[in-house]
Amino acid sequence: MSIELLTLMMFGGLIVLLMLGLPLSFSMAGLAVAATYLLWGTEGLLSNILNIFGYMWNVIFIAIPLFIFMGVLLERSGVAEALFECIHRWSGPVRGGLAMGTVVICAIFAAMTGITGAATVTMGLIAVPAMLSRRYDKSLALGTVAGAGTLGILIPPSIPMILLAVIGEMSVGKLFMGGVFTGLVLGFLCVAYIAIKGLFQPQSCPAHGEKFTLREKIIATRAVILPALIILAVIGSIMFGIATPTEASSLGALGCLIAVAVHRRFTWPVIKEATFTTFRITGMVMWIGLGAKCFSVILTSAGSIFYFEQLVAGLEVSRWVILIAIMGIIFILGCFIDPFGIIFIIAPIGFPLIEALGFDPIWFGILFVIGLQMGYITPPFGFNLFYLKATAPKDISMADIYRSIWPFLGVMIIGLIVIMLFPPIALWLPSMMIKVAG
Amino acid sequence: MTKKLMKRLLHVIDSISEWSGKLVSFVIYAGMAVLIYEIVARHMFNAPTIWAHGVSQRFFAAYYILAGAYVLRYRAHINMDVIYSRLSLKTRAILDLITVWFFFAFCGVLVWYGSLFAWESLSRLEPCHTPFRAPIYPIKLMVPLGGFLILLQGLAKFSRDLITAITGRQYEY
Repeated sequence: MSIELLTLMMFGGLIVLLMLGLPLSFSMAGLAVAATYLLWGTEGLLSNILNIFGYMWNVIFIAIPLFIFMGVLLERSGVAEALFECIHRWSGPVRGGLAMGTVVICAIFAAMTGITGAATVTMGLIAVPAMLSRRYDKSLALGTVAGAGTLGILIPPSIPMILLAVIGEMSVGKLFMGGVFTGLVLGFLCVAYIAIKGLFQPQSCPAHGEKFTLREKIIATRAVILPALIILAVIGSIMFGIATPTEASSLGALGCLIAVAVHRRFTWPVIKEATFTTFRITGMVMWIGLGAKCFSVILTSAGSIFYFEQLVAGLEVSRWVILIAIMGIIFILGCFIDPFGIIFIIAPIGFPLIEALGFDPIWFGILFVIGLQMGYITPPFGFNLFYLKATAPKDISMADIYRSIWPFLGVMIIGLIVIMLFPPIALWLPSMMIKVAG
Repeated sequence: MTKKLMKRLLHVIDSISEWSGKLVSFVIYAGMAVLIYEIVARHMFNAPTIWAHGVSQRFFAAYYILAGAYVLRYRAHINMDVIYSRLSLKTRAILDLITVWFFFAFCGVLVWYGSLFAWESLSRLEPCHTPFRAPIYPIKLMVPLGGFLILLQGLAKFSRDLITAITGRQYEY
């Protein structure tokens, strides 16, 4: 079978099966089984098992369930309520203060969890009603939560970064560090957007003006102690080479269990639900990975990846055009497929291409994650939109949520351009790491 | 009579996925504890272990592969539902009956070749290739087991889809 035909069969088959509603994991795995059989007969089928076992056995992936566990615990921990109360007490005189504070809380959550769910769900429950009751513009309230919630995958720890680092054969720790300043830049851009909006449309985000004594403010500020310690334990230990990302994830999970206990939520129903939910989300992610592993190994070993490289290398265009084209594909896929699917479909082809073009893979990894962030909020398929719909007040419609995300999509595009133009924002911190961990 | 038997059988399969999943989901605490022990031993007592990472790898490898059936039980395997979710119950069931063969092919490989793979390891009591040298075959056995569990749940879904495709109604149990 020629490489062209095989590649067409794999990708064409994938699109057809996805359209017909077969889950992504089974689509990729089933096609891999079919392809190994066609290429190498029954002898070849065992290779799928070897790929799957190698995937299961990867030490780095252990961080995935543990970081998911952290997010699931934090969602139920009461940390978000405490942080929001802190923001509420300090933000009285500030126009748009609650929305800006929501961005900050999302960034803090992002530094403790590897997915977007925890921040989006808790802020959807707490911040959206609080902002609406203070006559914030509906779109601004919703957009802030949906948009800033996606910082979860950009600010380390990050599940997508773990997957990208493994596929792109990079250090997870370095890719994590690449997300620190990038995440701060994107968070800052969100805050700047809210400030500008407040300037031109003061009625869209009025200062709530409720007054608190300094003592009340300081008491509420104690809420940041626990998150600060958890962040220090996870990111600090990776940054300073004390622990591998995998080990750091176990420290973080312990920290979150403690946070749950401190907020007096350590009950059997909470723990049980968190344990089962973690298992379900991990299973969902890891089974996509199982299928994708089999799928991408065939693309590599049959020469499809090399074929793509040749094809692209033959194009008489600037390497920037190719980079932007790849980002465009990630963005378009983001409207239809979930972010984990995009990683597994694009990254095995994208990283070899990017390196052949002479770009820095860590930098590309960061751009990739920003592209995924857009995927989380672009309709019709965006996780954060669904999270928000599930948690926001009943009278918020899906159309309200769709309308709210556009300015924040713009913010992300600006962020993407900033990182493209100034790579050191992403690359300086990784270059400063004391030891390459994991 | 057969109707009753069918109901009973589907219920048993659901319960197997449910309880195997709930049981395995607690493995995360064991894996976490082992990793924390390693950090403490290394930094506080200057005595890194040779087994902690190997043990956590074993825990989590089993954790992932055994999750498949539980995730399928809750229909939480991600699919692209932009079009799919707008179709009628009956059309969806019919489409599922067509595409499910890719799923069965994969499950077949997991069970059959997974068994060959695990048996080869078991027959020589294979250890891992780290200084730890602990047996690896129990985890290799999890591959066909995970495949078997998700195949069972898949067969239950297949039966339900078949009934929905014929009657056009959601089949409860």
